[in-house]
Amino acid sequence: MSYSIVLPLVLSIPVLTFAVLVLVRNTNHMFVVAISSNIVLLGVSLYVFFERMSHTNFNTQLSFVYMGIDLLPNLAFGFAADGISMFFVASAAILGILSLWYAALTMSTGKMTYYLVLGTQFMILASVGFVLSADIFSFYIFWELTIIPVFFMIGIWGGANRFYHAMTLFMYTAAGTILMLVGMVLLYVIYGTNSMGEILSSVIGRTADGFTGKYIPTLALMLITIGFLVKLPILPLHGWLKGTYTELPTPAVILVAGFIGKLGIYGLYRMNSYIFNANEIMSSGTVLIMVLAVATIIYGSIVAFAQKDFKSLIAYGSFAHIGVITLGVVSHSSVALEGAIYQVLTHGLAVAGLFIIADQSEKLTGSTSLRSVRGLFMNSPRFTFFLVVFAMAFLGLPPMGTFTSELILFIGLLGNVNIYIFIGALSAVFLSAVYAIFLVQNLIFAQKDGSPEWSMPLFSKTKAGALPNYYNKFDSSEELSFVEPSTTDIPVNVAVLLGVMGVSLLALGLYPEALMELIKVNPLTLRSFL
Amino acid sequence: MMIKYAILVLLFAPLVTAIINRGSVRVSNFVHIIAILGMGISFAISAFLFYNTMGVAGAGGSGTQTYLFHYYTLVSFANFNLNFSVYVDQLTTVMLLVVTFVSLMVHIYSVGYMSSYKGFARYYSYISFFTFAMMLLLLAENFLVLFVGWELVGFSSYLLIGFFRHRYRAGLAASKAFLINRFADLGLYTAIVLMVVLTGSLSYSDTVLNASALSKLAAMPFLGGLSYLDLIAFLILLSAVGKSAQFPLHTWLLDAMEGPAPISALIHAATMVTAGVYIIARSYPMFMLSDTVSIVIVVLAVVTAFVGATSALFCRDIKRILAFSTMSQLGYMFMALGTGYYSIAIFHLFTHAFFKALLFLSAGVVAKTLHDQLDITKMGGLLKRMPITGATFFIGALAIAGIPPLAGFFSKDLIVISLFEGAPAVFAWVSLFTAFLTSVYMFRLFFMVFMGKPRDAKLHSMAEEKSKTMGFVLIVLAFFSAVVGLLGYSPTSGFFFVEMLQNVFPLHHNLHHEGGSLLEGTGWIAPVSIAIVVLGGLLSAYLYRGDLSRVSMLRQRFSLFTTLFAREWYVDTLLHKIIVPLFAYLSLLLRSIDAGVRGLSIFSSIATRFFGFLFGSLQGRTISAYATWFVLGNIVLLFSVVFWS
Amino acid sequence: MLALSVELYFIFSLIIFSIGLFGFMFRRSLIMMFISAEIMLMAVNVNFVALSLRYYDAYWQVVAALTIAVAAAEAAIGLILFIYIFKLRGVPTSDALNSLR
Repeated sequence: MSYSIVLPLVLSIPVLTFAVLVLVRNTNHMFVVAISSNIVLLGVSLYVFFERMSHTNFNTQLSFVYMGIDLLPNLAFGFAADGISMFFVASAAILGILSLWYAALTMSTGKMTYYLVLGTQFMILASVGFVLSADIFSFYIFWELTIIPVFFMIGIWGGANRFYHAMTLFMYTAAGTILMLVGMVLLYVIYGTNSMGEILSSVIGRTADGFTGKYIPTLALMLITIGFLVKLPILPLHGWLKGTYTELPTPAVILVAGFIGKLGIYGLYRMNSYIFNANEIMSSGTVLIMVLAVATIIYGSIVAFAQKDFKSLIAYGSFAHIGVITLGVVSHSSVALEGAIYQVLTHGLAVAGLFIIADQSEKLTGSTSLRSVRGLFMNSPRFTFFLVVFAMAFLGLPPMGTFTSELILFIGLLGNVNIYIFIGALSAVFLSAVYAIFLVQNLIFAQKDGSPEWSMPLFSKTKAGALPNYYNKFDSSEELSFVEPSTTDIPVNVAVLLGVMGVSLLALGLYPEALMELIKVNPLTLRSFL
Repeated sequence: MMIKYAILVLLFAPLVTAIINRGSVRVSNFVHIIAILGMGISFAISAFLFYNTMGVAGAGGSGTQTYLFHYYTLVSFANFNLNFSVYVDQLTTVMLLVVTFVSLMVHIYSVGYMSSYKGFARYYSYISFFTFAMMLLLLAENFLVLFVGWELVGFSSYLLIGFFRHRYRAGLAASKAFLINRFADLGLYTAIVLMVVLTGSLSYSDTVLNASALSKLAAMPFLGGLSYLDLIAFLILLSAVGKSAQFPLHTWLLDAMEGPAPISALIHAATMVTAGVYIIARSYPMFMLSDTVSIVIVVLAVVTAFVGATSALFCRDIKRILAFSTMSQLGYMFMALGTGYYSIAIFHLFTHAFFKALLFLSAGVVAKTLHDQLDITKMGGLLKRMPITGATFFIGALAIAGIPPLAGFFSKDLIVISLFEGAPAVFAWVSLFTAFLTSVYMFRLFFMVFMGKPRDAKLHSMAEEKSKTMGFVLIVLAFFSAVVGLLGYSPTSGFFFVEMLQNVFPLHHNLHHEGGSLLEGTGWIAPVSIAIVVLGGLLSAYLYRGDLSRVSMLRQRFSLFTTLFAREWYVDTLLHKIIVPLFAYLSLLLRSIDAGVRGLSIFSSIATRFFGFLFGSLQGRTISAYATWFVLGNIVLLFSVVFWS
Repeated sequence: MLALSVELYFIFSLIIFSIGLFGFMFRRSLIMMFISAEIMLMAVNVNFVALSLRYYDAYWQVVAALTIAVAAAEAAIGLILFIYIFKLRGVPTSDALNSLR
């Protein structure tokens, strides 16, 4: 089985699944179909990995498959893959499996769930297409497609403000993608071809020339980068994040938070990772992105601590971690890049786990508020266990995967970025612990020793006495009644799912070499894309 | 090769029992048996390793053995690898012995102590998991495995401090411990990243034990006269300060007493908090080369010991007093580390583990029978009703005060001697004064709890000694506290224990160096320190034996100092009144700013409406309007065509 | 025989066309708009006849005849629509037609 068959196979699996799901509207078997197709996708995408195990001399090579649509002389659609693309496909498949599995466990089969499954499958399809595309127009089209199901899902399953949040998401991403489209059209017009490889090599080759050689390609790349940064998101452009993550149904948010949010990382890697030194304008742009990433980390962690709602806290925590990943991608270090890409998968698993737990806590107590829910340890031991495990995984406790990937990222970061940026990024290690511990403490521990004080800062004096209450001034409009702890626990099948996720996080942390093989970036793989 | 697998069994036996016990709530009858069995296996293997690495006993210097095993590579890059490897030498085995022994004693003790609590199985799984993590830390061959063990130990500490989940205070204490430790661990994390980048490896043998790597680091200037060597040493020191509760990161240890007494004995006295001492001892060449950092260590250590001792003088909670005592004794260990006598520090660690565990466990017996009443002003005269507890506590107090021939005397004495040798004399005098204070507060504790008349009759009537397992453990530990000091001194071969460790620290100050023995000219110290300690005991008897009237008179005379000590030097106040509110208000501020940022998308709707209105108003609604625009447009077009060409 | 120069015919047609145009733009009543449209068409016809005069070719007169026929047909349809609008809206003005419903 040669490598060139893998690519059409990987592309066609999600498309076929989607077609099958649409045509055969059988809602009884939809989960089986969807999950099994994603398992097959995972297997095929790891084909590279298996191949590598059997051949010692394997180096990841490219294979181009042209779709054969030649509209204009220089316009053709093409797809290509290398190790990192396959890694992203594998991540999409893994998170898709988890998302569908959780949907199968918690949602009843019916019309609405069918649409959810369709939407999920469509997202997987679009992501796979995005990750494998090798020309800028199909790149753009799939990028746009990934957001469309999200938009509808917010509108259908959201809460009271769903239309506002859906439109906010749409506004932000539309603004970003329009800039991206402008950039891409500019590139097409200047270089006369839409193949990514040719464009990028031309940019590198001709950046010394005058106006069209230097400024316009730089402008185009900047616009495209902004488009990616909106989706990531990075600090000033994150307005859509909270609304989206809190309004989506949990199976969708697993896929969106765990994977779709990181497609911008792939975009940054593919379009820009080796152009950052092409000219001085790009280099200063890179520094700006790094500064924004560090600001994201610090800002996101501190705001996460102040959130009143479980899901918002996870959303901002995830936002802070994506700042770390972005820093790894835009730094001029291949080791940091590899750490960042590995973190895509590990962070995705950790975030997915936390969202599942948030959903379960909502089922147990009827509320996701962090101010009025306490004492969940009493009747929910399984819940407590998994909350602690995933909170620890999220903050990067060894030997979980998030720790290993973050360590590799920082090792790569040290000599290659400004020392102040490095120090600022290091604060992620501590600050992520603050809100994660705050989360666990508030939900698990109880006030059965006296007063039901629900709005608590993190610490208090251990001598008896009044406990300071910072949030009363700001949260007093909240419902102040104490939600009684639930009398049940999370069901066993959800616990099995969470257990599988936890074990895979542990495995990813203990033996990263397995998947790092796919990601290892050597100059050969980078250039061979051209 | 059997040893390679024996080490794996040593390491993973407690983990296996932890997993078994965590999953099985129903088998609470066998939980402790499984756990003790696993712990016993680990103890046996560690004793075996100890014997192996020490070589033939008494042959002194020859036949010692170290082991280095590489198990697998986590990930390999062009410039560096991350491996899981194990390194066993005498330092490792000494510490392993301490850890497994104390852990085994705590496992046995907990049968009696935790029998009345729900969550028995969970408790045992947590302490077995802790022991696994601590052994992982000790067995590490490189800083990566050390760091994994370090963090996991902090995590188990979090689980165990917060064991009583129905108590809100316990949750707060656990979070505080975890966060302060995490903050300090930033130091170790940064040091690890620096080491990989600058030296290409994390192995001890390539970094801290490697002379050429160290000289390379010492040659790289960092800032203001310091080199990268100083920086890395300082970062490691930072993490040790956090983990070993040195001033100013000590507040978590005091609140950690919210956990059950046996884990205070295990984690916060004998094992986890000594990890800081271990890491500095392991990296000792680095600290020997960095004078600046060593000076910092000594200063911090002396301050820590002093702050701990003074704060314990006016504290009322049994366990909190003992926590301050731990902090103070850790300060002593760090003093020895700072002056370069690493083997002495490890010796003190060794002896301290026994008597501190003993003290905590007997305090635990008292607390349990008095139904978690910890205020010593409500106790008194318990010796009659709890003779074993009281007697063993007294032995522990003698040991910690430093009365020969018990354990504490030898190790503390050596530390004081090393201070006179290696640091300005003022530090040594302060440490002697602290020894005086140690004796005072320790005997204060003893007199107020066990002697005199009972202050609360109802409480007094509850006291009794029921549990055989607890009593057994106390007696064993008392025996070892008394005896173990003699390991340090043997009339025939000098300081056996310390010399035994010389092989680990070949570069450091030898006790018998070319200028003569360390002990030369310091013979006056031992009688002086004994005198000081006895004086302290007598003073304490005078003040605290009967009623407390003399004490209250003293308090009024020296109210400035006593307030300072009673408020624990206001460190906790600083944390709770300034640092945490600052963070909380900052987070609220950023949350409001974020609401503003999120609202920016409103502008898009405003802009859309504005432009819509603008362009919409140009449209007419009637046919005539359309006609008008049509005509105008045509005229413009016509003129442009005519005049353009 | 050319008694006057051809340009005068064009100016005449332009004047008539503008009368019709302004009438179309500024009249509210639909009947008046129709009449204005017819005036414009007539002006165009005059233009065509003048062209025939200018080029001494009968071709343009044929075009003029065609235009008259087309104008008549379009007027017929317009008047039918006008009756329908009157039935629908009640008033025969152009601002009655300002919505698509």
